Amino acid sequence: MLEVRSLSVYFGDFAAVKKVSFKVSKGEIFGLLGANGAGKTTTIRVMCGLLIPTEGEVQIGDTIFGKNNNGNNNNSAELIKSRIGYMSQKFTLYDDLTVEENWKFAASLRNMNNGIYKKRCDYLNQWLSLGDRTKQLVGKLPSGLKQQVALAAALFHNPDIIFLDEPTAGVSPYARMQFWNLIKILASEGKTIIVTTHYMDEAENCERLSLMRAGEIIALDSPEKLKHSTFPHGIWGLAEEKIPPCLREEKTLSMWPCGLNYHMVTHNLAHWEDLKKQHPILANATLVAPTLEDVFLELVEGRSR
Amino acid sequence: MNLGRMRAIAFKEATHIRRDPFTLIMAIIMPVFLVVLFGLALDLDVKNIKIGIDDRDQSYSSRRLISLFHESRSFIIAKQGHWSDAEREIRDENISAILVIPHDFEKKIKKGEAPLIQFVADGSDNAILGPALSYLYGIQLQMRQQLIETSFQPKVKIETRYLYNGELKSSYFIVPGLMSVVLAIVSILLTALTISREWENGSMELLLSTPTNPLELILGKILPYSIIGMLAVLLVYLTARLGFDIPFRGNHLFFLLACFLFLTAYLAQGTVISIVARSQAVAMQMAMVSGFLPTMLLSGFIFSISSMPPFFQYFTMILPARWFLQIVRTLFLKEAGFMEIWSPLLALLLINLVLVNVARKKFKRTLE
Ligand SMILES: Nc1ncnc2c1ncn2[C@@H]1O[C@H](COP(=O)(O)OP(=O)(O)O)[C@@H](O)[C@H]1O
Ligand SMILES: [Mg+2]
Repeated sequence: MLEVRSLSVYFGDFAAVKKVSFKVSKGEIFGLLGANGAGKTTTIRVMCGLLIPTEGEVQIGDTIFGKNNNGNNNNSAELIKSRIGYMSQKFTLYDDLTVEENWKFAASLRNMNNGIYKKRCDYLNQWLSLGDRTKQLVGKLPSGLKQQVALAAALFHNPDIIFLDEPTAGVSPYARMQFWNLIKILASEGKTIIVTTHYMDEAENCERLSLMRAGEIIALDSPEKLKHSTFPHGIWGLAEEKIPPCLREEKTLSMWPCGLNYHMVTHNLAHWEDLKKQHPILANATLVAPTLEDVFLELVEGRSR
Repeated sequence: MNLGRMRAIAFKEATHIRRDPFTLIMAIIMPVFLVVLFGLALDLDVKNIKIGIDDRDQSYSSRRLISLFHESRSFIIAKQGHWSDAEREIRDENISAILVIPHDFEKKIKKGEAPLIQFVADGSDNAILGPALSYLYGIQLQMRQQLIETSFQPKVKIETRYLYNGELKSSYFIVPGLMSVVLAIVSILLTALTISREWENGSMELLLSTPTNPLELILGKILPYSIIGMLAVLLVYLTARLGFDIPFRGNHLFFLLACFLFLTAYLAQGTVISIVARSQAVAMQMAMVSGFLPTMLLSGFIFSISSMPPFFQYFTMILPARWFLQIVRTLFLKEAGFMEIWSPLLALLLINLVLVNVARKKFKRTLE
């Protein structure tokens, strides 16, 4: 469905994206996870045909575009524009227009006639918790609702691929959950979804995730596999006051505070067994399930080196 | 090029304008306000400049020259006499200037030489000196025609306009010029801000992710503003006609056509700016420098084009205001037909085509 091959984007000498490659199949929810400045937005912009990459290419269906397209009319990047829906991070909707006006505008940019527009409206409205607020100015809507309206605006032309760049930033947890339900409905209808986020809990909803750091993909897998491959020996939790000081110096162990507990990860299983014998207190340690946050901190921030 | 998309963009822009009345006020009320303000101020300044006349020739020609000053409403001949110290006289008698006609005035005319007259003015009063000099220039032209019966052919047509402003009434001359300057500023500012706003708030990114092409976007953006601009033209026109009693001797259809071409040229220039600028603050500055200043200084509104250095004379050719000013002054003050304005009209049309094309070329379909 979508493939990115060895994509690099330079702004001057600065590499915002470095040799990124991945494949996304139809109906998949694919997540790009990374700190601010990791290159998520830049990658999405290239896939939407909004930026010309310095190197590499993007394939959507049979259409290939990349650095050889100079951004003029009739190039392949233009061809895919009728097939994609895009919700940008910086801007979603015009605040001084009503919900309906924003939708109408989005629909007429796609050359949609009134009949189809009405049908799409009804169809999309059934998923949204908008009620009779379609005549309200978007600027007056709560941010969670606004994001839903923006998603709908990106969906009017029934695109195959939907790019969502931090769609839930600044939205309440409940509204985020609602939003993710919409995303799942879309995926179940066969839409391919590429979404960026820096909320770890919602990244769990992605079928596959690519972790980005400084323009590079440093890990790419399903959330479960990522957790497993990052912490093959699990994470051990122990209350802080019980930890003997000498353990803190232990080179084969990384250790970080987590609530009232300390979490520990061993890099050497044999040594871990030795340590257990030396410090009986370690028998009290319990295995905790790693979260994506742990994975992220471990891989992206390089917590334990 | 898809008309539906262009309409959608125009319609959306119209909604933005409706929701933000400041734009409308700026676009429609401001031009009228400025024209009234400047029109009145300039009108007051230049009437009744008191002068004294020292006629040392006492000939037929010198009396004709004096009668030209009599007829003009700009000057009042407060005193006639003979003064050896003009400067003191100006100070003591509370007059603005003294005209000295030398004793060989008529003799020189008869010999076919250019006669010299001396105009001693109080240079400290700029408000009077500026207009006085321009009227003096007008009188000089009349004098050449009426007194020195050589066939005087001015090099640049715009100079001859004074001849049709028989009474040398400043508002006749200044209000049509003012009209073009004000419309230019308003139209260039409005459009300069509209596309740069889309860059600034990030909505351009969304527009670019749709199949919308540059021409649709540019024309859709210009359309609502050209309608507003035409409304402003209408109001300014009514103000000029009714408020300042300015005659309109030409053809209204040509006038409308000229206004439309003129407005769209500036709207297109504003569009080019807002495509290049990408932020409203920068767009504003660029609009000022590339729109306001040349239009004010180089269009012939303040300084006559024929007296500019050659480089600037050529440069004025790319200014829509230069051509529009020429058309408007012609249409207001002369019974001009198509033959008299076709070349500036054509120039406006060409400038338009070039600008829209530059805008289209400059408009990349990617975010840099
Ligand atoms: N147009 C640009 N010019 C220069 N640098 C840019 C531009 N766009 C993004 N960058 C830089 O590229 C890096 C990646 O940005 P971005 O893709 O927006 O990251 P993310 O979306 O993951 O936060 C950042 O360091 C950013 O400053
Ligand atoms: Mg981003």
